[in-house]
Amino acid sequence: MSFLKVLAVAAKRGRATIRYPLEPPLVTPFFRGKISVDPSKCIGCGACARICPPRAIELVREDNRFVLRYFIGRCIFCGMCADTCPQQAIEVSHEFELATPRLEDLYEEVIHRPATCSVCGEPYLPRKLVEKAIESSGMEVARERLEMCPQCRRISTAQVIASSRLRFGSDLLEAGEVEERRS
Amino acid sequence: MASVSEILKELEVELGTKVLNISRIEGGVIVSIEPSALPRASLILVSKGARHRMMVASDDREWLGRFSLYYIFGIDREGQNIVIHLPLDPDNPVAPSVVDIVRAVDWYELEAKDLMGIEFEGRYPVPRLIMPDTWPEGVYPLRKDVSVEELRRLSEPWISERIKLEEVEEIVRIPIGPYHPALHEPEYFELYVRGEKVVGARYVGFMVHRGIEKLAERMKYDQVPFIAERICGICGFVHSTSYCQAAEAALGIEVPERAEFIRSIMLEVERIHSHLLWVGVALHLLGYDTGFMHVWRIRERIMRVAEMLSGSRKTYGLNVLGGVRRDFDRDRLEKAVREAEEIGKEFAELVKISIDVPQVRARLRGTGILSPGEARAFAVVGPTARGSGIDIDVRKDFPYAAYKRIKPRVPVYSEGDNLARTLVRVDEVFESIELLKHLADQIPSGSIRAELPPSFEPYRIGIGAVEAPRGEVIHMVITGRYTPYRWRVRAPTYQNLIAVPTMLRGVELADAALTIASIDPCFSCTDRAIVIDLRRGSVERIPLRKIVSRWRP
Amino acid sequence: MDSTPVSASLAAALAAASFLLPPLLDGVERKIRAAIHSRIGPPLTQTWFDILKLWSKEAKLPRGAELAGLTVLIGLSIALALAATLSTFAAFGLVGVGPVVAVMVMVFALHSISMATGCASSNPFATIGSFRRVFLNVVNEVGLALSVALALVSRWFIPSWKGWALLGISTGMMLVACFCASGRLPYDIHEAEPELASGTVIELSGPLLAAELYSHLIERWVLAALPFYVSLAPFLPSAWARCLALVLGSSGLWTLFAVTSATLGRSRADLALRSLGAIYTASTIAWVGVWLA
Ligand code: SF4
Ligand code: SF4
Repeated sequence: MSFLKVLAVAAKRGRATIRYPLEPPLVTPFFRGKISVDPSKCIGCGACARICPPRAIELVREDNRFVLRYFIGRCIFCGMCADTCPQQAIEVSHEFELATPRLEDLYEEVIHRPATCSVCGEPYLPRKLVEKAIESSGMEVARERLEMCPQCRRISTAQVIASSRLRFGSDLLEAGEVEERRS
Repeated sequence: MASVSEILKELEVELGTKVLNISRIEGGVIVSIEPSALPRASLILVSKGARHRMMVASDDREWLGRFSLYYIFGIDREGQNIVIHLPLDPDNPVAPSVVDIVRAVDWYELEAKDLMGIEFEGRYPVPRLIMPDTWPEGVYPLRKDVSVEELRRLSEPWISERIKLEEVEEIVRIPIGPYHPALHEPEYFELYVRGEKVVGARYVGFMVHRGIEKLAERMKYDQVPFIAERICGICGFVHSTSYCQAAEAALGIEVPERAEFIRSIMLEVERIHSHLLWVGVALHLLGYDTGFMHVWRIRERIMRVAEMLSGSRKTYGLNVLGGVRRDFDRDRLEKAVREAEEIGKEFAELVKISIDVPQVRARLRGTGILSPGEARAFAVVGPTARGSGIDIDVRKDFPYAAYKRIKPRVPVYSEGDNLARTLVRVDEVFESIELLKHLADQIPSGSIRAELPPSFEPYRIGIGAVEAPRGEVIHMVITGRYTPYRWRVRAPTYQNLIAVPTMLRGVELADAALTIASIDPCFSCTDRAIVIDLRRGSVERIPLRKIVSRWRP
Repeated sequence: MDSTPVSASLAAALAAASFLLPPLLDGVERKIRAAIHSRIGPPLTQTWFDILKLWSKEAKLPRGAELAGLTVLIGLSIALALAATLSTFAAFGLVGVGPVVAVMVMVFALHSISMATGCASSNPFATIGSFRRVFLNVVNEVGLALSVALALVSRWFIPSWKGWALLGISTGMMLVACFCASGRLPYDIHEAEPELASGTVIELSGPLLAAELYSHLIERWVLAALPFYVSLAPFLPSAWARCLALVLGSSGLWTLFAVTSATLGRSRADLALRSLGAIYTASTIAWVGVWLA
């Protein structure tokens, strides 16, 4: 008859369920929830979009702007984006109560002003990214080349090589492009 | 059981020139043989006590100019694999069937036919295993020349036909059962009953084949662990670990010891969670909901431990190629161990109470028997094998992660009934708690992630296996330059499920649910069963909403 | 003896209680089960809400089980009549062999009609469920009838010690029979969730399900009151005492049944037959033993 001891167990443990949502949910401080992108820190490099396993973050060009779009509906809350972001622009929150009747609520966007090609006038990268690239190249002289879209830059590089002038920084730039293409 | 070198020698002597090549890989050898020599080779392997672990079909035309079959046999005592590699003709891939020699190879052959278009000679014609009946002939999804986009298009061809047929503009498509997503699991059992006795059973599965292996061929190495972890909602970490181990073995990446310990810690947390969940479900199937609720109350505590350690209650997301992403500090580890000990105490009390409930005891003992001989023939794994007296456990036989340093005790029961399988799991909970203590105690300091090589060498083969709560999980990776070239996943249920009809024979209908659940099946969503009453000839469909328990999404 | 108007109004009050209380007691049972599960559980009035909600839904006769519509309604009428009759008999002190037999006949009629509900359905789950119920009833109805008969016989020997002992044994047997007949765990095998979905009632919905549920709860009330009616009421002097004994006794026994069933698992047809058979045989032998002593 020792199965009756379950009554003692129940008495000792009391109530295990809570009156959620009237009582606060049980999340520890270590919980990984929704992410948020700080628009002031984000430079639109797209590293997060490339690593995100379910492609919940995308970096897309829309008309005359670049949009970093986070779709909560796809997010698996892994935090890989936050680990990857070179600017530490992404923060992982504890938020998980994300249900909503409106689909729009599940999208968050960071909008980037584009850099337009100095030759053809096409928007080709987010402005901030180009600025960052120039800054980290440490050479204001690189600006001229970085202000061109990849297509025009290639043509220009070809011309430069053809006229066997000095080539500076182009190795670096080409390598960057190849990397981009791959992913 | 013979040793690897003895078996190799015998293979060379017996097969002579039919052995094309022998090469070493991490954890074993690959023996390439001519297809016609396969029956002889498998006979030798089986008679020497090798255990069939997995068979992988791969489209290797890109680098070998052939299709390949890889039969992975485990020599459990040595922790080594003998991989029989069969290169097949690229235009007409045909291999001899060995299902009469290796019973466990059954589904693998069917799967290779469905997904890769490999023909097996000497099998009676069988229906498709994985692809639906409406699937066009001659399109084999895993072949490299078939794109994901094409597969998407092909998977809905009938709808436009239908629209024409019905002469309507628009059809709202509402798919309802037998493969209904709202039902727990889209699998299907036919139970043949006489009165209340089950006299036979048939299983039809693969309703939710998700094609993630194909998907991963387009993902980066570091993204795959996350999709691997979503193969199963309960034991996902074993899949990401297996995948990482396979890829690491193939690429020769040395994982730092601390990362290995962290992996083992999470694996044991996952095992405790899974077994608690299972015991709860089993009690529910036995109508003892009080036990079910209390076990799940305890289970909640281990989920919180998991969240504290990994940031997530269940899908931990810690594994990356070469190690793990998060480190544990001393404080949290100690807290986790303390909590686990508490959980152990509470669980012990509850198990005693539950087993003492007369109905629970009466319905567990002597039901759903799988004899050791049958268990061996089906090559079942995990608690299903250990409940039938087969002493195998990947942690002990093929040590990986921290189990190279810390050996688990492996409980084995020989009765082969539902009670034996239950007790194996119960004992394992306590053993996992012990292990957690040792792991937390002995975890070395250091880095948690290895430096990755600057580029990945393609076409290297790696095997990774993990003892999941339900048994051996095994992954094989053939590397590609940027993404895995071929990734094959084998979950324990794949191996255990074919034994279920045998276990069901002779049980009362009332215990069928528990018996099916006793292998802890991991279908990807619920099942339906048909009960055919042989006496009256009537057919019943059971929405196995509740029958098959573990409805693991 | 009480005056007729007093008895009559007490009968009416008791009947009203037996119509209103069962769903509330079921609410209590759910709370008790929740407490034993360490859960909060639904509010006490939940079962009443459930019944009213189902009642307000569209009436749909299950296809292939049109007869079930009829049997459910007959069942409900029998259940209401049974509760009213029991209340009247208790209030007026009609506790002799004749009234008890009349009550038992109604109880068996109610059981038969609810078995018929399951059999009326062509749904195989309902069919298997009904078969299980028939199996179980073969043993349990015999046990119930036997225990009531033995209790009636025991009453002749009172007030000797033997009479009390005999009454004790037969009442104990009656408690088991009533518990089993109330269809609680471990004897709810006719609607076992895991393998039969909800078995006998699987095809019912809306008002039909509400009626079935309600008559089942009234049946539970009667079964919980029965031991007090047969074994206690004859020894109580006033209508007040008898009515109070029935209300308190039935509620108390309901609670005890609730606790008991929450600590057990679900039986299996063959196991249930065996264990009930053993209990009834043993009690009968004990009863005969005491009688011969
Ligand atoms: S948390 Fe993971 S899934 Fe979500 S956006 Fe970041 S990388 Fe993508
Ligand atoms: S990785 Fe960081 S900086 Fe780059 S796009 Fe994402 S959020 Fe912005």
